[in-house]
Amino acid sequence: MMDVGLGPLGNAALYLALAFSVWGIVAGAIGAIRRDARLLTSARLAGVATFLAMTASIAIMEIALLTDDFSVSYVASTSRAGNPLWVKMVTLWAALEGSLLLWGWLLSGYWALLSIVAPNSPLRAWALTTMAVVQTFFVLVPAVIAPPFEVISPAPLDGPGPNPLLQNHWMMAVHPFLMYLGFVGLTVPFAFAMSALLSGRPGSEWMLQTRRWTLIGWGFLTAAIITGGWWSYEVLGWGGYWAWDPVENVSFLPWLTATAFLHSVQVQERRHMLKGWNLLLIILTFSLTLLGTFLTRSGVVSSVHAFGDGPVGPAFLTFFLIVMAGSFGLVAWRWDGIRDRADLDHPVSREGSFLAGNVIFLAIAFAILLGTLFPLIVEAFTGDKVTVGAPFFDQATLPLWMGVLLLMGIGPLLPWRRANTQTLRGNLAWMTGAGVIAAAVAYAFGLRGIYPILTVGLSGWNLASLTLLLLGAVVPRMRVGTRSVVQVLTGYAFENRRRFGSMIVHFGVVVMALGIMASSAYRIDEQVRIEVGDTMPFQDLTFTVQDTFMETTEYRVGAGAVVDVHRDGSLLTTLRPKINTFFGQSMNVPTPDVLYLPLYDVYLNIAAGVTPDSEFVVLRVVRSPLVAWVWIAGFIMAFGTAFALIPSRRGVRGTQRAPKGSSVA
Amino acid sequence: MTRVLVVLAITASLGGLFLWGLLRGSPDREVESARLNRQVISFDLPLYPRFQGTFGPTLNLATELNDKPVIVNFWATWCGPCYDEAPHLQAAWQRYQDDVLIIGVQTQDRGKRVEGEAFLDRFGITFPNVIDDDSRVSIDYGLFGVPETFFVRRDGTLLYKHTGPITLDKLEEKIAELTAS
Amino acid sequence: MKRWIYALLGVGVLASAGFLIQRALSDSLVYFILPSEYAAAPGEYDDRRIRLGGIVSPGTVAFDDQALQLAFQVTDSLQTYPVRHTGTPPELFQENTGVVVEGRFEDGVFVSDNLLVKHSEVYEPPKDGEPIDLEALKDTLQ
Repeated sequence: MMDVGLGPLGNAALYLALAFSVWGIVAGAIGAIRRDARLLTSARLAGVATFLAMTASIAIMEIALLTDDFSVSYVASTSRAGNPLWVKMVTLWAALEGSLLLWGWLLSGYWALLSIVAPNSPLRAWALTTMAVVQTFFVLVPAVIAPPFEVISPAPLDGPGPNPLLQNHWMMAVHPFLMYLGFVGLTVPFAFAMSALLSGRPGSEWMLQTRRWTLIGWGFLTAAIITGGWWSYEVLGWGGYWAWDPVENVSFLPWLTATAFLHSVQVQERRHMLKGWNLLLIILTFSLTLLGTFLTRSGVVSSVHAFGDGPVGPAFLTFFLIVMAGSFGLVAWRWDGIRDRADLDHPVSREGSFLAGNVIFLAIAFAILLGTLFPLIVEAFTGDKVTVGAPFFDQATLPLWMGVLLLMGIGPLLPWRRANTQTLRGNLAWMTGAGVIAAAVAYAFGLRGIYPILTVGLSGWNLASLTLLLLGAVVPRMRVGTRSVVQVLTGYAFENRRRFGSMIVHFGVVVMALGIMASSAYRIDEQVRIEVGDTMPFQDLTFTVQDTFMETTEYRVGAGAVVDVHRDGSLLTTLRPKINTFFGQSMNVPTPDVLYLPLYDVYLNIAAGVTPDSEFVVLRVVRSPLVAWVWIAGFIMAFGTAFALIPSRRGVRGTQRAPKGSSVA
Repeated sequence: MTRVLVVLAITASLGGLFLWGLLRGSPDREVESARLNRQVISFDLPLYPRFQGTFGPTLNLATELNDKPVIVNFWATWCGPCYDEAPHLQAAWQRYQDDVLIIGVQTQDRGKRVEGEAFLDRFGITFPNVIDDDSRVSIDYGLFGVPETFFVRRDGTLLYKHTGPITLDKLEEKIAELTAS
Repeated sequence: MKRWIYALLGVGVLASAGFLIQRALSDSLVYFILPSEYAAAPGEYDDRRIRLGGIVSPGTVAFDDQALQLAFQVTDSLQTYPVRHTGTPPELFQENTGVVVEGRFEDGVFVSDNLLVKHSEVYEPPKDGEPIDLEALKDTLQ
C-alpha cells in the first residue's frame, strides 16, 4: 500500500466521492422526474457511498498527519513532526484545504444519514438531490480547487506546523468543527425547502420534516460562535471576545437568520402563515454561510484574521451566485402557490410578536452585513478607503437588541391568534414591575447610561416572564394531583421538551445579555509597568511580579512573568502570562493568563517582550465584570437546545407535532 | 416573470460588486524589497562539518565578499519548495563556482541537524551550508518565509531578492548580472 | 385584509433600523488617509476618528518606559506629523516601518489609541527627485 502513497490514495477517494455525488444528482433528478423507484434507491445509495468515500479520504489525511507523511502537500504545509498528538489530529482543520475537506465530510455524513432516515415522502427525492448538488460542490473544492492531497516529491523531512494562533489553544480544536456542523445542519432544511419548491409542494411538510435538523444546526452554530469568542478572549491578547471583525460578522449572519427562522416556522406550524417568508429565510441562511466563506477566504474584505486569498474565493462566489439565483428564482417562479391565505388575526398575539421579532433579527442582520460590506461599496464607488469600526455595530444594533429582549419576554406569554386583554394586563404588570425594580437596583448599585440600565431592566422583565410561564404550567397541575412541585415541574419539562428547552435557551440569553453588558460597558483595560519584585495596586487588587521566566518545550519557547494576585491581603492566584514562539513559525503569540471569578475576570497579558533578565515587565491588565457568565450562558443555551432535542417517546421521529394544548400559556 | 428578473438583477449586481472586489487584487500587494542596492548585514555562522575542511568552523559573509559575489539562499527542512529548488542551486554551483559563491543558510529550523544533513545528502550539495539556529539572520534579512534567495554584489549591496523556489534560468540570469557589475 | 399590519410593522421597523444605521454610519465611519491627504484638508478630519497611515520617520522614536508613552513622527515623504501613543511599541515596530495609527488630531499632534504595524518588510522612501507613489503606499498599508 505504501507504494501507492497516501496522496494519490486520498485523491482517489475524493474522485470516487465526486463520482458518487454526481451520480446522486443524476439519478436523483431523473428518478424524481420519472418517479423511478429504482433510480431513487440508487440515488440514496449514492449518498451512503459518498459518505464512505469521504470518510476514507478523511482517514487517509489523518493517517498522513499522524505518521508525518510530508509527501502529502497539506501535511507538508501545516503539520510538524514534533507536535503533540492532539495538535496533529486537529491540524486537519487548521488550514483552508483541510477544513474544506472536513466540511465536505460532515456534509456527506448528513446526506447519508438523511438518505437512510428521511421518511419516504414526496419531498425526499428532490431534497436528497439538492444535498447531492451541494455535496458535489464540497467534493469539487478539495478534489480540484484547493487540493490537500497533492504529492510533493521529494518529500520534505518536516513541516512548519499549523498557524501558531491555532496551536496555542485547545479551543481551536472545537470551534471550527462546531461551525461546520452548524453550517451543514442548516443545509438540510435548505435542501427540503428546495425540494418543496421543485416538487410543487410548498406547504408545511418540508419544514415539519426538518424541524429537528434546523434546531441541531442552530445549536451547533450557537456553540461555535460562543467558543469562537472564548478562543478570541483567551488567545488574541486584547482581552475581548467580539471585535465586529468581518470574520466574526459573517459567522453571525446565518445565526441571526436561522434564529428568525426557528421562530417563524412555529407560526407556520400553528397558523399556516408565513410560508414564503420561511422559504426565503432558510435560503437566505444557507446563502449567507456560502457568502461568509467567500468573503473571509478571498481577501475581498480586510480582516485581522488573515486567511489570505486563493482559488477558493472565486469558487465560493460562483456557487453563492448560483444558489442565490437558483433558489430565490425558484421562489419567485412559484410565488403564486406560496402566498399565504391565512392572515394575522391580531397583532397582539404569539404570531404577531414572532413576526416583529423576525423583522428585528433581519434588521440586525442587514445592519451587520451593510457594515461589513460598506468599505467595499465605498471603495468601489468613490475610491476612498474607509473602515467601519465597532462603534457602528454597537450603535446600530444595540437598540435592536433591546427590542429582541423586550419581545422575548412578551412573545411566549401571548397565546396564538389573539391575546386575552385581562390576562395580558396582569402579566405585563408583573413583568413591568420586575423590570422597573431591577433597573432601580442597578441604578442604586451605580450603573449609569441608558443601555446598561435598560439591559438590567429587561432582564428583570424576562425573568418575570419566565417565572410566569412556569407558574402558569405548574400551578394548574398542582391543583389536580398530589405530586410535589419537583415532580410536577420535571413532569412538565419532559412532556413539553421543546417548550421547556426554549425557556432554558431564553434564560441563557438573559444571562448572556447581562454578561455582555457588564463586560463591555464596565471593562477596565490598562497597561502597567511593574519592576520585578515590586507590588502594584490595581482597583481592589494588588499585583506582585515575582519573577520572569523562560521555558522551552520540544515545540515552543515561552517567555513571561510570574504574577501573584492578591485581594484584601490574601493570595487569589498566581498568573503566568507569557509570549510563545513556536518552532517553524517566526510569529510570536501572546498567551494571556486569566483568573476567572464569578463577578469579574482578571486578564494579564505581556505587553512588551520579556527576557529572563528583564528588570521590569509591562502588563496589559483587563478586568471585565461578569465575562465568565457569557460562557456560562453559552452552556445554558446549548443545554436548552439539547433538552429540546431529546427524542420524545410518543410520535414519529422528526415529524411529530407538539402535543395539543402544550403551548397555551 | 418580473420577479425572476428582479432576483437575477439583484444577484448580478451583488456578483458584480464581489467580482470587482476580487479583481481589485489583494490589499497586501508586495512592494519591491526596500533592501535593494543597500548594504546587506553580514553574518558569521557555524558550518556543517562537511564544509569545515574548506572554510573553517564558521563562515563570514563579509570575508567571502572580498573574493566573489555571493548568493545567499535560505532554506529549512520543513519547507516543500526548498526541495524543488535545491537541485537547481547545486547545478548552478557546479557551473559557476569560479565566479560566485553560493551559501545555503538553514533557518527557522532549530536543532534539525540530522535532518539538515539528510537534506544535504539527498541533493549531493557541495556549496557551503551554515546553520542559523536562533533564526537571527533570517530576521536581519526580513524574511517572509523560506525559500528566499539574496544576490549580493562584491561591494556588499543587494542586487536582487528572490522569493519562493528559484530556477536554474533565474540563477544564471542573475549570476550574469552579478559578475558584470 | 389586515395586510396593512404587516406593512406597517415592516415599514416601521425598517425605517427605524435605517435611521439607526444611517446615524451610526455617519458617526463611526473611519477614513483611512495619509499625512499629505490630511494636510490637504485638515478641517475635514478634525474632531473625527481617522486611521492615519505612513512610515515611521527615522530618528524620531522616543519611548518613555516609566509613563508608557510612545512618541514618533509618521510620514509619507510629503508631509510629516507627530504621533503620541499610550502604550508599549508593538513587537515589530521600528524606524522606516509602515504603521497605521487610529485616533484623532489634537492641536497638530495625532493622539493614537491603536497602533498597528504593517509588514515586516521595510518600505523604501523615494530618493530625491523621484515621485512617490502614494497609491502604492496606501495599498501596502491598508
